[in-house]
Amino acid sequence: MTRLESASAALTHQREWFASLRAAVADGERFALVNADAPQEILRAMGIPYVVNQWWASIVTAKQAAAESLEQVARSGYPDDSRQYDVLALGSRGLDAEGAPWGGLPKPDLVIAELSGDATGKVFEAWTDDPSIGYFAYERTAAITPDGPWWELARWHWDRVFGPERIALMAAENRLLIEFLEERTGRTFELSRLERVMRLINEQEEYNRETRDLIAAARPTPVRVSDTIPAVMVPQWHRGSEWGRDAARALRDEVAGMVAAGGAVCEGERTRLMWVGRGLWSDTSMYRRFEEEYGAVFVWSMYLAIAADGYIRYGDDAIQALAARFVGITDLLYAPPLAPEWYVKEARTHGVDGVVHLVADDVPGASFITLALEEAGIAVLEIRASNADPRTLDLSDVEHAMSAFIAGLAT
Amino acid sequence: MTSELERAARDVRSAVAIVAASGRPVIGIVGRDVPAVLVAASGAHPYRIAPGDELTDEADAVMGRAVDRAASRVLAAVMAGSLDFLRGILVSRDCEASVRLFYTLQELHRRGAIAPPVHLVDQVHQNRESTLQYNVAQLATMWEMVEAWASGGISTRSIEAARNELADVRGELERRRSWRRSGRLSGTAALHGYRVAAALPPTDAARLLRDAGSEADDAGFPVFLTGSAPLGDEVYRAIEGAGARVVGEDHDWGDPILTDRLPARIARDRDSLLRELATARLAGAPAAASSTMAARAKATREAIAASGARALLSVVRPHDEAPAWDWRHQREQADVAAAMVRGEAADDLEQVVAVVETLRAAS
Repeated sequence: MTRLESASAALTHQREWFASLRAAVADGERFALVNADAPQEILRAMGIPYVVNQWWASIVTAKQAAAESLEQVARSGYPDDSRQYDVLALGSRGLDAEGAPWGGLPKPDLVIAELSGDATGKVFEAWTDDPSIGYFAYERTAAITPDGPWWELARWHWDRVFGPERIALMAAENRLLIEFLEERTGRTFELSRLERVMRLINEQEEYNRETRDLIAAARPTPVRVSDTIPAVMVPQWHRGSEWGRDAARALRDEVAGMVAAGGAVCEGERTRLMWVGRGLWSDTSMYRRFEEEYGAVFVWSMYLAIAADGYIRYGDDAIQALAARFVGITDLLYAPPLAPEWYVKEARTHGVDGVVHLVADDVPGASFITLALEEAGIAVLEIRASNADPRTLDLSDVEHAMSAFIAGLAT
Repeated sequence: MTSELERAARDVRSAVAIVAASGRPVIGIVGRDVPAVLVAASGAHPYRIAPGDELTDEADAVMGRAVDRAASRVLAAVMAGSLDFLRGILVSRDCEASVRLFYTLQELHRRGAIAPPVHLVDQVHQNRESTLQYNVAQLATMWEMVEAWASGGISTRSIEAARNELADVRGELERRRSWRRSGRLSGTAALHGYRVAAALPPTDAARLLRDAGSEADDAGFPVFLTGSAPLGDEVYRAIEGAGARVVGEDHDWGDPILTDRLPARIARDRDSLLRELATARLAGAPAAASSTMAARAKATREAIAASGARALLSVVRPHDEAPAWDWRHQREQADVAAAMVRGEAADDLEQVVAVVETLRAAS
């Protein structure tokens, strides 16, 4: 049972939204599948419905359909041990109707991704084995070293964080995407609608910023990470809508109320923990066992924090501001020196005693994140695993390692 | 008997260290996407770094184990101090392993843990004007970085001189490619030639290539090699030791080097020149990590036809993701017998040889 009404409301909304999407697609509506690191705002502004690839991957994983989806990928002649999280949606298309979560993902008309890593572009190109599916790719450019703390600069002075060349490239690609979408869907892009979408997103993320700050300052922590994840991420998938903005405000209000009432996840909170890296979707109950056994509470995950610090962009040119939001969003989470400095900042503001760091095999710079945290005097447990492929993860091993780590922190 | 070219190919680092000791600046290059002509035009020697033999335990601890060993071995060499003679290292964005290598080297340098400074030449790869403009800006930054590292200015005249020297080496490589396609040069010898050409000063490389000559006619079973770029020559030796001949390849230590054109004319304004360099790479043979599966399959089919291969062999190291994605379409379009050795098996030369035997039987 979730303790957050915001989370329950978000999950209910998501089911209703997905059912309506399926119905609309059945009626002939075109829709897009978009990787999370590619801009979705233009689709929102043009009224083109979309599903975020990583959200669908989380549903496939949570419904225990990841292994079968990966087998479908292998059966189609592609590797099932590469980019597993990105490829789950593709594989899930092969699930039978009974096994497919939420009735299954309809066939998209368009797929959009950034060319991150060596194979993400190929994962999305594989969708075009069905020639009726169109594909648009953004370039992936490399992080530069910003001339100050990015979390202070990114809202207004984004060119000092990401560099003008990177932003100019992605802005040009935004314009190309608009042409691609207009051609493929017959819809017309209106700049004023994108500007409204951008305003709504900035409002939404400002609410997330307030929520993050409330949780950082609260002792004991009033809300579980496993609750805030859906309450933040479902509205994130609806960024640019009034519902998304209002959901973020509702979360802020609910958390503020809990803080004011002195609410606590764990009455005997003794150890505050931070979870760095992607979540382990399949067993969130693990967190609860640590609360009961050790008084250990996870007070931080990247989902709320990156919403708070990573997405807000103010500026007169919506196309440029949109580029500045996405051009380095994954750098902020993984690339040195941007990511390590941010995690240290967040660990300090949240007063954590230890960090569990899930090191996925497709992210750069993980050792420098661990090193920076340890240099800041914060103990770190590294877990090396893919969060998407259940075949590579032994949760009992993870739990044992975390138990030992938390027990060590308590002594 | 080991040829002079082979000896040189196996120890290019020592030869380049001597160049550095003589006082000439040496700048290291990782990957195929850095235009060596700009480095040479600065007065520095462009040395393309091949994976070394250093143990990678320490490198793995810093960069992680889930990265192609080609990058780990370069990192290991830098961390061991074996490349301290370099004025700097230019890293291509040719694959994810190179990007990770760059982030790691940059951070280690920032922390004072390694000597050479590092710069990423962030050339991206789609066939779009916006991509080209970004790449031109990246090359302009590289230009300034190289001038600073080499303490030498780049001019139209110096670029022209560098281009001419590199063109001489290209000429030798092209001659060897034609020998290879007519059965007069082994794949192993061709690989040695490419290594030497990418690492040694052009006059030395051209002499070694010229002196090496062709080999006796060989009717070995002709195989086209795709997959991971080899760390050394072991995979080639194993394949050719099994009676096959590697008549062509699509990795970035082989024939694709010749598809990245040198500038035909040296434009007087910098932007035009950089645009030509950036265009040349985009027009070159598609690499696994930066191209579509469709482009790769088409290029493989054409290269098989050009080289006269009768089989397609893919050898894919662990953590080299892209080639395995390309494989389905490559195999479907190759029109010859095809087999892939992937993951840990790719490190087992006996398994590679067994697959070669299978291909011979199937072709």
